[in-house]
Amino acid sequence: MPSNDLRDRVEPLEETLAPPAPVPVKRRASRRPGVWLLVALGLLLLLASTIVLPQLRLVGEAFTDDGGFSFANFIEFFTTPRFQEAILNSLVVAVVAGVLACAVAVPAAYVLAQFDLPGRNGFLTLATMATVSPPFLGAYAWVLLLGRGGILTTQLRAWGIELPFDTIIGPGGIVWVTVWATQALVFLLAYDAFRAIDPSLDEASSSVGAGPWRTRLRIVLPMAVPALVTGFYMSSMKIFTDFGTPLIIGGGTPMLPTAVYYEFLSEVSTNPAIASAGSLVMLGVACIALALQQWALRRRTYASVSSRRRPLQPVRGVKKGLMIAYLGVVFGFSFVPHLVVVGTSLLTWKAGILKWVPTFDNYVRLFDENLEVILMSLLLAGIACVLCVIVAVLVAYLTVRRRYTVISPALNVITMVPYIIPGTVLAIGLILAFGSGPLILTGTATILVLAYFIRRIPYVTKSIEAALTQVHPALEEAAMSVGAKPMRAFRQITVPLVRPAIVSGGTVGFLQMVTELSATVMLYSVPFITMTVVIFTNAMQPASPFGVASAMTVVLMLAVYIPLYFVRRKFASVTSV
Amino acid sequence: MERGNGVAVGVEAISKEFPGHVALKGVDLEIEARSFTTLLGPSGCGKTTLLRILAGFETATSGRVTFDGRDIARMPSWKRNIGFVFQNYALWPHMSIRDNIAYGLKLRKLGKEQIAERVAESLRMVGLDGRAEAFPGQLSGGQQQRVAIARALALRPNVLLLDEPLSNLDAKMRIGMRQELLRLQREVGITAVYVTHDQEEALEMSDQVAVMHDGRIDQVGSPQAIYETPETAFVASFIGHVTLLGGVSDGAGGFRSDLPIAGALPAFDGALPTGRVQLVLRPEDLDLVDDVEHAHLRGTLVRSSYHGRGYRSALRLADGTLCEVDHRRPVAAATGEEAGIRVGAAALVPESDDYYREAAPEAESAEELVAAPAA
Ligand SMILES: Nc1ncnc2c1ncn2[C@@H]1O[C@H](COP(=O)(O)OP(=O)(O)O)[C@@H](O)[C@H]1O
Ligand SMILES: [Mg+2]
Repeated sequence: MPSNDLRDRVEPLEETLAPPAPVPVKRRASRRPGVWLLVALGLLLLLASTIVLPQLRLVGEAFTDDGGFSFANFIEFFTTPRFQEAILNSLVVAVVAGVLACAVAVPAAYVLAQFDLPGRNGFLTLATMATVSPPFLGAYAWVLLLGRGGILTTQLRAWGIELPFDTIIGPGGIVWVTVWATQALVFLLAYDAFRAIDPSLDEASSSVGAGPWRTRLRIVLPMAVPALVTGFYMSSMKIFTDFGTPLIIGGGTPMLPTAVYYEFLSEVSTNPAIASAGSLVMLGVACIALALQQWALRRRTYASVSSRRRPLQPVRGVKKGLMIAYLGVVFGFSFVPHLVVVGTSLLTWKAGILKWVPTFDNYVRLFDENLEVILMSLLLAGIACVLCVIVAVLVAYLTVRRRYTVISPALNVITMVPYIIPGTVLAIGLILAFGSGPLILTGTATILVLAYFIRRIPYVTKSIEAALTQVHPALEEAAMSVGAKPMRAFRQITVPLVRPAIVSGGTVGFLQMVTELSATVMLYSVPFITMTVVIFTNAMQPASPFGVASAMTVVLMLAVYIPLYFVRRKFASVTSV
Repeated sequence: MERGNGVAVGVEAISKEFPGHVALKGVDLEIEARSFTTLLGPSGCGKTTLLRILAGFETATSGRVTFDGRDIARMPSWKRNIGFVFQNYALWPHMSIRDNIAYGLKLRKLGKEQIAERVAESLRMVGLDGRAEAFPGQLSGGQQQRVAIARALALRPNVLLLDEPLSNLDAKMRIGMRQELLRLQREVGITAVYVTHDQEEALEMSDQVAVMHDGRIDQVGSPQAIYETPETAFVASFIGHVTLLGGVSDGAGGFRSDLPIAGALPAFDGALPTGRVQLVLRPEDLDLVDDVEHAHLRGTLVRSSYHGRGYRSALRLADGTLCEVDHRRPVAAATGEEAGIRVGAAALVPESDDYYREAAPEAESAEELVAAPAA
């Protein structure tokens, strides 16, 4: 504790110091509730105007036609074939990708949780890394690899090997990429669930004569259902709300986020009202999905109070080999994009065609032409991250500690709202709210910072809230009893005690902000361009400088993995999302 | 350390309502400067709430709190110059013991040397000289407790407030710490308000005991007064095991019991209630006699067991009341046979249903008792 610093800023307490002098009385109202109440009201105002207001504008827009209340936009939305198709595609892709991600990840998680396999920590690290990959990275890399003129496609054709498909582009590609991009999430959830199962449960099962397979199906799998439900929900929602992946690899397959995006922004014909209606449909589906997930979990949260650590079973020979091979394949596919990007960033490209000549040119060009973009990305995410952490700490404190009757629950609900708002929908709301009127933010960096802040505030708040419930209120009261004012007690006692959650929550928030695309692509404007936008734009154009885009993706990956490495080393338990 | 900065504390008609629950219902209490006062009562009776109001952590719904006669209701806790010792110690885990103790001193802008001196002095007082650099997590429960006390005392507060500070320690340590706490309090000359639900602790340590019950103070007095002349059935039953017998009092020493008592009872002490009353009989004031004819009361022996220094027996009286008696000599009567009780001392309290039920759980399961083995 920097004592000088402390003493400089301290307010004199001599009134209470001179014993046995009588205790002085100040006849003014206590300032105790005052400070925090003001903070609470300020936050409520800030969050209501940045989170609630834009969504209300969106609702207003969607239900307005010819200046009056109307369902016309929704009717048009649901009767237009391309939107019908988009809804159907989005739902089918989400469900199929979710199911496949579970099918791939659960066996992998089970083997690693049950058996003593080498490289356990390596696989867990890979899984954590995969969960914070830039969301469009997979699409970009797989198109480079297996697109019509892709590296592998052409190479194989040169060797006379025919692929069963022309190109990976299309709905199948979306599913393929999504499965490998989201399986790690399911994997981590399922792994934790399998590890948490009390070993005596399956021992009890085999003691009554159940074989290993019966035990697995009847005892172990059901215990992992909550993780499965959550994993399925998260991976299907990820693709349902993802904007970059379908646009890069969908090959024109209409999906909800892209359809809404074009309806709102395309140069040909824009119709914000229809786009708003579509946004509300997306929001509605997200709400229903969340409700279903909560409903499915309701009767299934087993309080697993395992006193013993689950032992790892020994395994050898062919079985062991097969297990490792399976894990290798699963994580291999998940990291193909990373390898492709690193590889292609170090090779020469000519007019969109890969030459197998190693070079650093791409990096040289990147830092020559795009240094500002890199710095801008880091700066925007950094500012948003700091803001996010500050607000999250305050909101968490106000909801856990100062339970103001209306304000605290209101703050809690409002900070959770963005959890279900897809990036595209958020962006449209922000444009509607801040594109005109008293406060115009479109075209500024502020609106990007705001979007990042809003998208991550639920996650950061939750993680800090969880940490705060572990800090006993008496610690702060003890500080006040020795003369610290409430704000000082909060700063010097409570904040340091939740610092691990602040650092890890903030870092994970930063990773997600720096890779954000769905909202960024609608909100950015020159000169506030981010890496994600540049990579995305490159991926969308044939014959663009793929080498530079790959190099930038590598930089983006470093911006994600270096902070992740440090927080994980410091706080072993950090898993993302 | 300078002596005697303790203030007199006044509590006047304090009430505290939580949403849906009234925790304090008009509490009055006068605490002399530099005295040791205990708030004693069962869990949930409002002790902690009252203590937190003294500390300024809670605001009373109505009533006044005074320090040396001055109303401090509106003074926030960080200006009250109090020391508060929490039940769970509330040491700051991210600070060393030294920093824990120095924190409040730094806030008071004391010089570096002065802080070091006071920290050392406080640690010495609680016998933890060498541990200044340790962190709370490295100390045992008893040591943490001492640090918590040192932290509070280092500020030379006007009042030391302690909320069940010994309840997390094991029995042996608890008893040792009582005397030590008392020694510290006397040494520093501070006013101490001590919350406990342990009557033994209260009786042993206090100058003054306030017995609390359902948001009220039933009786305030010295430990002897509380024990020997309880004013309510609750106070009588909360402190020690008692048997209560209904009757009528004339307020001048005359008492007629509902259950016939043979012979004259010893004289009662203190102010006597009139009208319907209850006779308070403590096991240690009773004796078991084989000569049923010359006993005050008679009953059937339900059980008897040896306790080291003597026996404790339970007798069922004619009205069904279970009466516990301590006696030195073994009983001649067997279980189920009749024996007599001699009353050595007794007290009268106004009749009330409000007695401390947990004190007499046996009375509710007669069947089990009958089956119990006799000595
Ligand atoms: N913050 C609070 N909100 C609501 N009820 C409370 C609160 N604090 C205490 N109470 C209630 O007030 C009563 C007295 O509590 P307390 O003073 O802690 O009792 P004690 O310390 O004697 O065990 C209890 O019934 C308790 O449930
Ligand atoms: Mg209490």
